[in-house]
Amino acid sequence: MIKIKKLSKTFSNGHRALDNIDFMVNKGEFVYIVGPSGSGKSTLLNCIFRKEIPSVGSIYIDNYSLDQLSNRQISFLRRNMGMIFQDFKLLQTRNVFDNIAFALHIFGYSRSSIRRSVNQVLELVGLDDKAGHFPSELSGGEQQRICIARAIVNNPPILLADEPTGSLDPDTSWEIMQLLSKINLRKTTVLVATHNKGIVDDLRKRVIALEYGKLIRDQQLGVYDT
Amino acid sequence: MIRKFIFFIVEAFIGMKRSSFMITVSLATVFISLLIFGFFLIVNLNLVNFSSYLNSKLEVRVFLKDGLTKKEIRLFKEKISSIKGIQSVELLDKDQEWNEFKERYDTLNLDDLVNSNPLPVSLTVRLEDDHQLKSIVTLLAGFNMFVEDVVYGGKMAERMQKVSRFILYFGWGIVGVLFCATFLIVINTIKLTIMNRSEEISIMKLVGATDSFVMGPFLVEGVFLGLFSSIVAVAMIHFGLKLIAVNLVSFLPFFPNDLNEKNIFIIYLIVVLWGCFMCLMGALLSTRSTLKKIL
Ligand SMILES: Nc1ncnc2c1ncn2[C@@H]1O[C@H](COP(=O)(O)OP(=O)(O)OP(=O)(O)O)[C@@H](O)[C@H]1O
Ligand SMILES: [Mg+2]
Repeated sequence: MIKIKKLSKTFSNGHRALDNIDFMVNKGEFVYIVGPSGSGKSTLLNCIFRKEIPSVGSIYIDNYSLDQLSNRQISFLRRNMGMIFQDFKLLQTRNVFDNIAFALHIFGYSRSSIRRSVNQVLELVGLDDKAGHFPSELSGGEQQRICIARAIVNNPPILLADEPTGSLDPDTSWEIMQLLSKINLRKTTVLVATHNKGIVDDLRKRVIALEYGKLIRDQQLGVYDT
Repeated sequence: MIRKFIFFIVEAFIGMKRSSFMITVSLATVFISLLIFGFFLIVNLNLVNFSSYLNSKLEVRVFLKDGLTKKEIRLFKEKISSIKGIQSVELLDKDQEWNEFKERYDTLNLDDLVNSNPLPVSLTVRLEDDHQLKSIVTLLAGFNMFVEDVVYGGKMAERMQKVSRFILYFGWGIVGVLFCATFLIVINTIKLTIMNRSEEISIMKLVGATDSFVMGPFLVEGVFLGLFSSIVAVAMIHFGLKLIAVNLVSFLPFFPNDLNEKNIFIIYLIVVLWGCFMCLMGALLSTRSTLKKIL
């Protein structure tokens, strides 16, 4: 499903955030990407999402190289990948319902099916009573859940989550992770970048560890650190 | 398709509401420039009519003495037709001419003023070119057996044409400058609304919106800008014209006011279409260049 080959990313300021990364993720897998702050977890997910362009190396999704995509193709790529952003990226001027609905407008859903899908997904993340609120009126954890709802509302085959439990208390974190593994059970490939040691150690899955941009460990049913 | 279009319209209005000051400014500018454009189109139409009217007077009119027989007139006509430098000679039907004259200036109520046709029999003499005008006029005036008077509006007409041509060029110049200004303002307005929403746009793109989808609302915004201001401008011109027409006819009955409904309608259509086109192009240009800057 996802194949990363000799991937390096050097930012324009010369900082090397990813250094010669190689790994493969099969369809329906659940993978943690762990590592200390600044190790390149977000950069890796952003490259897969084509938010950042790799300096060296290639990424393949379903055997299609992402090397040379037109803007249009990037858009269609993104419709097949939900991304939960570390900084949420919610529209501050729209309420919760519209934040999720506009993604479906992009896909050309009808009004009634948009309403149905949005209400469903809001119920799933437990925020169906907050549909009319604006992001600024929500707690960090609630905003995070909106972001998750938007990422999964159209059932993409791949879900990328950047610190999905970053601003949640342990109980809610656990709920969110249960939610992500539930989505994973529907054959969605899930990549989660996190430094939440408790979760990684409790909900055992494959772990890919990064340090200074290098892949230092790739372990099935792994733990946060060895 | 329709779903997307409705979405674009809704989004366009949200965007316009948010940058309402800039939108108001550009609405006003587009409106003013279209107003002037429409005004010049109308002046233009009138001037073109006026000059073709004058042009038809680029000829020598020979008024014949009263009481000539038909045969005498025909002979005289043949005689002057053979003069070198004269292209054609035409006998004018004085009754028909009188009717035309009355129609053109129907506001004067000529029938009340004059009870019989006051026009003498006359010939229209077209010259091959106007160099020999003076000599031919003297020559024609020399036939004092037949000729009552020789009138030529040539010089006058030419001068009038120069003036009206100058007015036309000047008007088109102003319209051109205004268009450039309007275009820039539209481009800037749309750019500002895009910048106002740049974060939104980048989020939309992250969620999978194509460029053309992101552009949609701004293009709608552009067309709306053009449509709204051109309709207001047309309405203004329409009522303005009515007002002017009423006053003009009573003050200047000789001004050839050739504004029939069809011509006016075409002008209105041109103004509206042009307004929309200009704003759409402005929106297209600025969305393209601005969206490139937003990843
Ligand atoms: N746009 C950028 N320009 C320059 N350097 C960057 C840029 N984005 C990230 N970096 C640097 O690249 C390194 C990796 O960043 P990244 O965001 O991938 O880390 P991370 O593992 O996600 O960290 P965290 O756990 O804090 O989110 C960091 O040192 C960061 O400073
Ligand atoms: Mg990060």
